[in-house]
Amino acid sequence: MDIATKSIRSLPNGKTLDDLIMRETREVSLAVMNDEELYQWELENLFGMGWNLLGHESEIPDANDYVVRPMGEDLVIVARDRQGQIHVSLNVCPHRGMRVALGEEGNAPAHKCIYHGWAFRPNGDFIGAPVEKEQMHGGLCSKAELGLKKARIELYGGLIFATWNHDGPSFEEYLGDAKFYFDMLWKRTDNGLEVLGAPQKVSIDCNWKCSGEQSGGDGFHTLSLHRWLIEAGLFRSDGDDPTDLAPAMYGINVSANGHNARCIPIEGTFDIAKKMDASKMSLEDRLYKLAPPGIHKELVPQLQKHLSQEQIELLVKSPPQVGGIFPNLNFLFVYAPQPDGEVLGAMAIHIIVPKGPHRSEFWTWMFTEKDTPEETKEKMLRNAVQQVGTSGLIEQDDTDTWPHISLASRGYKGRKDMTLKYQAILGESKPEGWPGGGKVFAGFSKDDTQWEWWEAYYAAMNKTYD
Amino acid sequence: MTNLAVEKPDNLAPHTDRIPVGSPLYNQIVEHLYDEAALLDTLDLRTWQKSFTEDILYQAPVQITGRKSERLPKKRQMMHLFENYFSMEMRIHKVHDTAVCWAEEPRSRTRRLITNIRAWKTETENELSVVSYFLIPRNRFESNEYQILSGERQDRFRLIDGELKLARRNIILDMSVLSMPNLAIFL
Ligand code: FES
Ligand SMILES: [Fe+2]
Repeated sequence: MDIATKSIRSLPNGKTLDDLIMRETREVSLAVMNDEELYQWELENLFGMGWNLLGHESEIPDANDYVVRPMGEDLVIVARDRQGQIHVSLNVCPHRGMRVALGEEGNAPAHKCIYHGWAFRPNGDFIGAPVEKEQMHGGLCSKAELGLKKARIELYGGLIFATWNHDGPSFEEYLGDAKFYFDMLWKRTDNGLEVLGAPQKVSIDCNWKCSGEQSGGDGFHTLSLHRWLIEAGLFRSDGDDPTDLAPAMYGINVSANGHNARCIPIEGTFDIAKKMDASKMSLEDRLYKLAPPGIHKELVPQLQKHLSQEQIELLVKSPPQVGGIFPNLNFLFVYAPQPDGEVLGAMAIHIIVPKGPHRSEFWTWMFTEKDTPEETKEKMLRNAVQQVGTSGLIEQDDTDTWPHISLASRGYKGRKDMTLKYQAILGESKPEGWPGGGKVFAGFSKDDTQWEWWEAYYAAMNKTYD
Repeated sequence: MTNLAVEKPDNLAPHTDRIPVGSPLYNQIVEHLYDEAALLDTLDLRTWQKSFTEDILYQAPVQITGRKSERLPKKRQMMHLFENYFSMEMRIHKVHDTAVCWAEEPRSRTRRLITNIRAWKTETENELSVVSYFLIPRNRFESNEYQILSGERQDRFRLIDGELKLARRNIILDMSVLSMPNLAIFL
């Protein structure tokens, strides 16, 4: 978006988006982590009118299965009907505001509000109120008007996204140039992915953007906050000193519409892959020996069917390993090809859920390919739980960092004068013959894609809805 | 769709006779659990590790709020912890031997309160089934609040040369959204 575009909205304290997000100097006021009005505005513009990840279709495999999920602070019912269709409706009773589905998950042909008994179908339609002959839903609204509020839904590689913006851009338009890269992760086999279980959930005392801006890609923090990866010898290091900068910092970062993917050579990231001496392998060889997590050898031909030659080449050389979908989704694909040919590793998706200016929930789903052999699935679950999510050795260090930033934004001086800085600029540069679109930043991972996240934030917030 | 029930770590021999409260074996179990709590609270994890068997399985399933009248959608059981001896060694190494485990550096203050201890013999000789409750307040930095976890441990101990060794621990947490931002502590 053009830097000349100016903020059309301001907060009650007079501050505009331009006061908070300083695009000339690539700084963001720390006040964004604290402001209650800005937070309310985010609930509308980002979580209400933007696309939100709610889960994966494999979480509700049967008719009438449902899960209750957050869209910002709104809870919605994500349910499968008898025809197999998935629907998303607001979990708030149109009668007097009670929560309708009480579980986090369940299976119900009808959702009956426990307060006065109004009932709704899995697609949100109003069935009726008890004592039909007395017409307890009154005479002013028709039954058609009394259903649960329905969201617009999109299934992408089995992932369920929804928005309240019924006339806005399609999900595909929303992904834009990022789709080419994301298809390599979520749309590469006949039967696609399945969850390894319900999401893990933890509560964190921080503003959601402390984690949200991380979904813009922050390669740099790996060297310090995730130092353990290097000390434990899991990340490749080239020098004699095992704590040398990991080659994993070099790669190709891609950004489109605030979404991003870090494409890093596998053998430049994980020590285990380096030992396989991948430089001498043919493309075919690499497909089998350095396959993505969960892609067992029987599934390799499917990759060739679903992906273009260009995507395959990227997948075996510099696959997207970390990235995010704006505004609050973060993904991580950990490669762990085994010397005996078994393909382990971890596939995880996080969302950060806003729960007030200084409280959030952090959710983690773990995935496998649906057609990965059973024993491998169990091992992948172990692998994933041990590395990412609640107790993950890699990710346990992220979550307790964020509350400090939130706390700092509450101080008078902190919120008045301090800024988040994204001034390490690599700049756009596309390697020869690079197959994908978007803004491409090749080299040492710097602040570029994270800054693009803030540009997307600015663009999405600089709109009014009525 | 797979539906792997891992409510219990694996098919363990059913328990048989209750070990009466106050009996010498019961007292030995209580002493062991108290000592274990002290080792964990003081981060003496290398000593703690010596009390595992090598085939230890240590796990904490994710809890889901469901309704009595409904079944849950079928899917695999997700875990917060899903550990074996090898991964426990990695965890212990990280928090005990490195200075870069930022989730516990500076370390949190914890107090493992272990109560309601019930014990049984099992059909496997020398294998004891022990259930206990725990309450763990965790405090970090200068917070004036505790992050609290309560729950139940379902343990299998083996008596080896008169000493109790932990072979299985299944941890039933009382929260579906954990009050802690991470589980960098052992339960
Ligand atoms: S609030 Fe739901 S039936 Fe009255
Ligand atoms: Fe991180």
